[in-house]
Amino acid sequence: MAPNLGKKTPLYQLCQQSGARFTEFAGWSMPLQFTSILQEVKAVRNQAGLFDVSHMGQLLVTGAEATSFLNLMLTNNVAKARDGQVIYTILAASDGGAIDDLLVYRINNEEFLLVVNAANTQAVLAFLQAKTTGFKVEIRDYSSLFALLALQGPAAAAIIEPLFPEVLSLKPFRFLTVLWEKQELLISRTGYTGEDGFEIYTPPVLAEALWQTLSRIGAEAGLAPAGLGARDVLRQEAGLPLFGNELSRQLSPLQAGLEKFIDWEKPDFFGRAALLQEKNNPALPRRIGLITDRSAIPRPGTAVFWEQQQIGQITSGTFSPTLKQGIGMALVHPIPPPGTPLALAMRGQFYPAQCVALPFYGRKR
Amino acid sequence: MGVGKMVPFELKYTAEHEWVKVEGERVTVGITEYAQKELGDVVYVELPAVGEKVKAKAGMGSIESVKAVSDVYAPLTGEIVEVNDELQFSPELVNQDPYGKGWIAVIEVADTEELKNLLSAEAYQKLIGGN
Repeated sequence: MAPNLGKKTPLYQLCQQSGARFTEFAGWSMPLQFTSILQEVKAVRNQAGLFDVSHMGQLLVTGAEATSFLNLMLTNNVAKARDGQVIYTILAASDGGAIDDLLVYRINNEEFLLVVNAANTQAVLAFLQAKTTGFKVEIRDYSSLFALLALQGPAAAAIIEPLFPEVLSLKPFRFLTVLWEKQELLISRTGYTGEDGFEIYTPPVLAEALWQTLSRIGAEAGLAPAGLGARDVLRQEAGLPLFGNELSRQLSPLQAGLEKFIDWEKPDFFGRAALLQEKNNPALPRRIGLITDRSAIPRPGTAVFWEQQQIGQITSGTFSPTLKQGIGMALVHPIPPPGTPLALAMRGQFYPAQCVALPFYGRKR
Repeated sequence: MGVGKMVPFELKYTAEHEWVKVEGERVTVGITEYAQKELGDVVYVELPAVGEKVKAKAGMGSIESVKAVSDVYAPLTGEIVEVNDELQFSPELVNQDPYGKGWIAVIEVADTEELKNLLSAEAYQKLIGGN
């Protein structure tokens, strides 16, 4: 087994004792899987899974002009959000490329918690910091102040209820704070799996106790610890983009199909001009979904063909345990309509695929 | 480091993590416990066809896991005389029983001299970092 390099989360030891296999991700040693990716995906779709996602970065933005500052930086509109609401947004560069995709927790109009990808924390911090001149705003890296647990699955609400009954009233993309062991936790009804669930931001010192308490309560309901391997499969089934695959410094939010998180009505925001130009470019490649037989699972980099012409390549792909077939996202132009037969070039031959609308999987509500 | 590094003494191995059970000119081939663990959940096995001629170290099939696709290499030159059809319906046998029900194919070896190129259990164990 490879040595475990990288930073360790407050839950590292506990995960190791639970038999996790680790992988290095964004400079962190993160649990890849506890039992098997198939079993963990199944648990999240049918009961619930508990994830350590403490590698995620947190930045606190405060100040009298925090709202106007963030609205100038981000593609989405934080002024339209209510206190206690979470919004998904992109931070775009002036050329329209994505610096990161992130969640913004609006505590109030002078206080926002930004949750960013681990690999991008320093880049986002530096980018924002450099733009604060003239704004009454302050940005602090709070990443080391939080461990982050994600409880995901149809049984998540029943599992969390005995501990924090007040969170059951949360609608999707809302959060509140609770007191536990005399410390404040922030809990949001969010996730990256396509299931109902909660993300719990806790002081690191309480992380182990919280993990163990949830595991104990959830044992009967079939709660299973789950790793980044399952998380990546779950987010693909749910059609969610991953920074670095569907979105990057070179891949804009428009190419990733995230236009609904761009508020064009704002007079200005970083990247607006470049994105507007892209929006009017009929030749812009865009993200599509496709399915295959399990004998030809799409993998990143695979060339995608439509009527003998290469139209782009796969950005993410995996076997879908829920749909029992191969699924993939691809960046292509021209854009085939759902239902179009496509072909994937792999191992020196063509394999059939079919364009489908995203997401691949949506839970029953 | 646990059972993953224990390898059956009576088998031969390749550096590409295939095991070989030699019975005269007929050899049974599969992938090792170490390999199945590295691959993770196997969801499809592309088998060679019976009658197909294979060359040592050339691809003779592939294994799709959730995470990645991997080639299966022929450990020896010869002809495929049997394949494990069971894997078409139960690819997870490769994970559950790599040295038994998860076998992949039987090759009739063209030249038994080639057997000398295979690794002993001891050498393979060293290769994967076991004791």
